[in-house]
Amino acid sequence: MGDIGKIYAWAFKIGNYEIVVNYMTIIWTWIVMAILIILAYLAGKGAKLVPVSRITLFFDWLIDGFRGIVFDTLGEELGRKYFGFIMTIFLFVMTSNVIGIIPGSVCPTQDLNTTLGLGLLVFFVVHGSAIYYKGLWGYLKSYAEPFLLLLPLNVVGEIAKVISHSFRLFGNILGGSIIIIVVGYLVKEWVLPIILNGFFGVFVGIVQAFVFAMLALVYLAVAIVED
Amino acid sequence: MPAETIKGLAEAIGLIGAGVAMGFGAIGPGIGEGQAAGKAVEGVRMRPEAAPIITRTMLIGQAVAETGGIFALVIAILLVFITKATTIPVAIAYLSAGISIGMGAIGSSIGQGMAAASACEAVARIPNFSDKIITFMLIGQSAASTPSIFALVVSLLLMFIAKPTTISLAMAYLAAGISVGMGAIGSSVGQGMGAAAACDAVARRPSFSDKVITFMLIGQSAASTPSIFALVVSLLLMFSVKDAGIVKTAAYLGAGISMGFGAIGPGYGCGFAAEEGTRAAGYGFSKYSVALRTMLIGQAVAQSTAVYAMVIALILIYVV
Amino acid sequence: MAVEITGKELVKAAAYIGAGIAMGFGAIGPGIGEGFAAGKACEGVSKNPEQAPLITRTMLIGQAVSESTGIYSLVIALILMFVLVK
Repeated sequence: MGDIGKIYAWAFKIGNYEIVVNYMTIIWTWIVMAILIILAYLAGKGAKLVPVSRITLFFDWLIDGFRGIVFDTLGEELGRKYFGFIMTIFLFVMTSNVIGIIPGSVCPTQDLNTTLGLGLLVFFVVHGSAIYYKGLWGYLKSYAEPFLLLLPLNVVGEIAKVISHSFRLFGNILGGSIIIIVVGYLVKEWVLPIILNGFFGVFVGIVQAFVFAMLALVYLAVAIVED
Repeated sequence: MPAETIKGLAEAIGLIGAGVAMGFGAIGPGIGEGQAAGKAVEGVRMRPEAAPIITRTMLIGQAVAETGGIFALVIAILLVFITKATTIPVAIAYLSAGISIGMGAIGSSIGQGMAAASACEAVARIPNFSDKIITFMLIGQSAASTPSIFALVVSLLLMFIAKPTTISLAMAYLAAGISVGMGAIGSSVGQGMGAAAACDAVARRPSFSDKVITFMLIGQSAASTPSIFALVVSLLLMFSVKDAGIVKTAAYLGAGISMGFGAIGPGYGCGFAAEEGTRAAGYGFSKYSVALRTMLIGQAVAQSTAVYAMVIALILIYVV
Repeated sequence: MAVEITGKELVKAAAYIGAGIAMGFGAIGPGIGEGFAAGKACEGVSKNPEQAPLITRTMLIGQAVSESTGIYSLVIALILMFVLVK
């Protein structure tokens, strides 16, 4: 039970600074990347007018579903620019969450570094796009809406958005993995933890990945789409 | 006090934590599952031939709503049998663990129960769509369980990772439990309301189901934000505070109270907005993105007092 | 467990707990009320999408007024933390 919050990390000193590297997170992130690249290659190979490869069909269905939502929210041309971004976020987060089902694995999204990094990535893309499409003055003006008095609150609200975006994913995935450890400790059979892993790991993982990608899309839409 | 009395007192406080955990943890499932049962009865009255499917929906929904109570039971059992507090500060940390999951389970079970109730009503209206309705109910309920998962994580960290050595640190851990425990109440009830509206909407207009699910998840995310702030404050109170005198200790306690209670109202209010937005998605719009933006702007303003509460909590922890 | 507590320290400690209670309980009401307004605005926009700007503006004005007691709590909390304790 003592290894509930355990993080596998190396700490080493360079000069006066101590550098901590969470090596398990990094290794499993590479594994997730490798899986996605291989799946993408296999899906692309089967791309015909009427595909028969199961991987291609699965990705076809996934992309079609997201295409509707993204293009509805962003409009035609903006949708085309940002569709890849949103889809990649969803695929990466979903694979990272679901990979926890392998015994002995560490979800990359279980580590606050990963989720905070993704949250900051979305933050920079959203605000960068807002500056690009509205101009610097238009972007700064948007903080003064609807009343100038709300300016500090809007700024704090933007920072709070990044925090909530990252911590939601982190808390859910970390919570799921902790629940599996605790139940495995209390019930020493193998059956129940695996069934539970199905619910908490896979189901919650997919839902939270969808929520993360959807929120990124919505933040983007609110920032750059004109009425 | 003699050492014997102190050890006894410590163990006693730890056991009170177990009582708090299960006592408050039982409130939520009772209310939520009762709601589901009531709506199921109403549904069976309206459409007796659909009774088997309505009962199945009710049982599935109630089982998910039970999970909050099961978390509380697990923590209570661990507190009674596995962990033994020997010093007062550790006992206070265990009490805080009990408060955390006890309060945290209330809201999530009420919210999930409301979703189950709405699902039963929807199944009674259109038994043929029961698969879709149950799927939406499960997705909505799993999102609504987020705040109670946060509370469980903090409880377990308080029991197994935190080892306070002074009363001052123990008070910071007590504040951590209050923050995430109370903070979960409003958010989960709000999220449950959103899930309930989604079940209702998908039964009325199944063709709009992807809009409904998008609105539900986005609305629920905004409603869960105050509980996320509460989790952040809890983690900060557990891992980045130092031992200090009575003034700083009181500041930590104030921070926990501020964030914990401050998250109740905004969570519930944003949930109301999520409910209306999701219900509207079911009626269908011509301008989907306008409605989404209205819901988000409204929820952003409603969350503002939760942001104030977090700012006050952070100032109390770090500045004063 | 004997602690030296001076009167001044006790006042400061109480002030900080008071700040927490002020903001904590003070955030409940505006949250519920503004959420209610946001919900009704969603309903309004769904029934009448052309009126969306007017509906949104009315919602924001209403929410700003409801916010006022929340701001009072914030001010009291800040006063308790920074002004009274010297």
